Amino acid sequence: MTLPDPMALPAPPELLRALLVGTYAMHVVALGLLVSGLWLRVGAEWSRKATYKIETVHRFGVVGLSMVITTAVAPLLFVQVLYGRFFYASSITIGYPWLAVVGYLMVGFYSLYLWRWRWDRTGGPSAQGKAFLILTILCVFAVGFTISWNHLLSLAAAPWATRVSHPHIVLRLGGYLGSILIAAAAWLSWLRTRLWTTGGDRSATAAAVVGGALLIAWSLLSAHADTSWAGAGRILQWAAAILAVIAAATGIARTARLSAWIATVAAVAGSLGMALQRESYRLAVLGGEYTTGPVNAQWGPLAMFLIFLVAGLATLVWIVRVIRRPEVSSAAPSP
Amino acid sequence: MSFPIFNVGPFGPSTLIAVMAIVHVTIAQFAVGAGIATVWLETRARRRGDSLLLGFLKRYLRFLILLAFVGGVVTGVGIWLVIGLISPEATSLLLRQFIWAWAAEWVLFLVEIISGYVYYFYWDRLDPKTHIRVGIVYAVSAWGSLVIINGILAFMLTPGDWLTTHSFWDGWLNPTFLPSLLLRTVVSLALAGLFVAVVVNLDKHYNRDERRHIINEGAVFLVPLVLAVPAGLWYFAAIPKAALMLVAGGAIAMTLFFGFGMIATGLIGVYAYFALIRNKRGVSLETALLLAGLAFIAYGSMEYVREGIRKPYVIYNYMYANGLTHDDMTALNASGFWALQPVAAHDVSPRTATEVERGEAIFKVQCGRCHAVDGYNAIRPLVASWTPEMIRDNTRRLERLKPYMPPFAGTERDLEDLVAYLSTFRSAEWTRLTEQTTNAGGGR
Repeated sequence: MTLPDPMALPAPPELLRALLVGTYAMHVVALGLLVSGLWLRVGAEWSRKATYKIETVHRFGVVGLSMVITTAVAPLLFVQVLYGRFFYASSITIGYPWLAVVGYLMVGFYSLYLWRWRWDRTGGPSAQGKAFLILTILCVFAVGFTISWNHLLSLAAAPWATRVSHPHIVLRLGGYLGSILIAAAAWLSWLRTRLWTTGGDRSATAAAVVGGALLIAWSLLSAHADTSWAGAGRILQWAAAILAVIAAATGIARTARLSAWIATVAAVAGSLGMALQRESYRLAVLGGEYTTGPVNAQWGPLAMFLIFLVAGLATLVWIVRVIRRPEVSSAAPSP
Repeated sequence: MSFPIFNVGPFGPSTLIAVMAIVHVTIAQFAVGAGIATVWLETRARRRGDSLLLGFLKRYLRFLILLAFVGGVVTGVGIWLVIGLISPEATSLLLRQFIWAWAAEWVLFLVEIISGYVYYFYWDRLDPKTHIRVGIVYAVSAWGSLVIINGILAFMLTPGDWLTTHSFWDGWLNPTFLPSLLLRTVVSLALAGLFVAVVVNLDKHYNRDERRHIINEGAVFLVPLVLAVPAGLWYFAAIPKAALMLVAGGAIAMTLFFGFGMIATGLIGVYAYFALIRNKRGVSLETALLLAGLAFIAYGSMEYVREGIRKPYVIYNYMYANGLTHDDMTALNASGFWALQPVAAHDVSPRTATEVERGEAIFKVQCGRCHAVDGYNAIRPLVASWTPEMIRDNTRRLERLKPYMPPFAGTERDLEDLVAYLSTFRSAEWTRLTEQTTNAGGGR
């Protein structure tokens, strides 16, 4: 470890860290979208009480997986800039299982399409459809597990150490799942306000309750170093858990719109809390091993990025407004 | 030297990168061209009331979604993972130098994916004017992604003034930025045009005349292929002379792949002009697939050449393919391999290890990024018949004997360690066979 990284940090580390936390929180919200889509598919495949349109379920799954991958790119960029030395070392130590993520994503994605194709052919649940759905869920878990494995390995004091079985991995995945389920509850709550053909579905309520319970358990059981970021993260996660329970209660009381708003706030708090906890944990564990090194801020290119960000967000707002307008016809194509 | 070395196994690191990169770049370029093509053709079809073409475009978009939004997106992630495993030093440099370009590209990527889905899922649900606007957003964001990535890819071969200034703008707007962008745009459009022929043939419900009509509409995107000639000349005029020499016979693999690429591109161009543009003929599924296959060969070959002619560098005149910079080389020559505490050799103690063990560690760090022991580009058969003197002599003058290889860096003792390790690959069988051949030829 004698040679430094070839280039200095391109921005103050606090800014890069804030972007890492912010984009990672976005990724958790997108994971909620994917999980809500898979949740609905499980309902469609195994429960006869499903009351939603299959087209909606299909889009939730496919768009959800796309968004999960797309939103994963930004934190992947910032984590390499900030912690490249550790990240590359742990990736190389894992080797081919790390590369297998590409295969899991490919198989999981196409299984989603195959599930839809099977559903359309049989007009409802089928053994093959169930198999495709299980395959997708397994692939999603395999990706999550491998990323957690790499993350925890990158925190090992000696990054080139042999593979470790980290004692916190199950606990960590529990907290992670809690945040994701609360985000899923928010998506499902909004779906309930707009697209449910009847108001009786309990998916959003169940996701909120389970997610909230997992987060509380995670906060109580995890013994993190008490940095200021960890403290903020913990407060946000408690807030998310309490709000999720309130969202579930208002959902049961059939005030769907209020429930959706509360669940959304819970999702944002839970995702941000998760991202902050993760970052504080990383800093605490790495301790003196980690130094940011010299900084050579690229203000001009940063301004360019901000212009792109503002323009991009404005475009996305315009697109959302466009698709909320009255529709011309309902005959949408299906892939 | 700050990272462990990924043991790729018999496939070889370059094979892994090449497969992932060529598949991803081909799909990604198709996605860029298809975005522009679909919006252009939709506008045209709506103006003329061409419902046949409009119906086809929906199917074409479905193909784009299935191919690009799954295979393209996932292999894009795959490239990040592969280059981080094989060349962490270069990946780290590219990220730190261009993080705001990557971040801006991510914004475009996000817009591209969302607008792409809306463009497809809302095909019949938005008024035509708004729908075309969403399509334009998709096309512009996809091409914008290409513009940004193109600058970074071109930087690796022609860093230009960046070498002295280390300025973001000097690196990104480098000498091959424009010709490379023009070439990639032309290729994107050509791929989009060729895939019109593939998709329309895969759908059995079109009759022959309908297929011909749609194929001829798509063939317009093959016309810009003519710009590939001046763009290519411009590009080759801007690359370093040493890189040009590798194409012109200095490295036979580069020359051959360049030849494949030129021939395949020429064949596509000639067919496109005579069959599709001039005589407005139809194309069968077999021919369409053959043309798409040729395009894949052409594009894959050219990408391989672009990667290959950078050698011995990964970032030209700055970082060698084994991740060592010029400064690292100077430090290694002055202080020796072990003074720099290479991470990949953390388990070897230079005091107690044997010569061969030390040599193996040096091999891993300086040669292991390109050479496996066995398998693709393996070292064992390369040195099997060499004497220690030959290994020493070749290693000492490596960059002169083979201009696409980095020089050896280290002290005389490091060199002797490496020679000792490579000498263990000497094969008695090989030596006997070469001696037989030499004796039969008169023992020169």
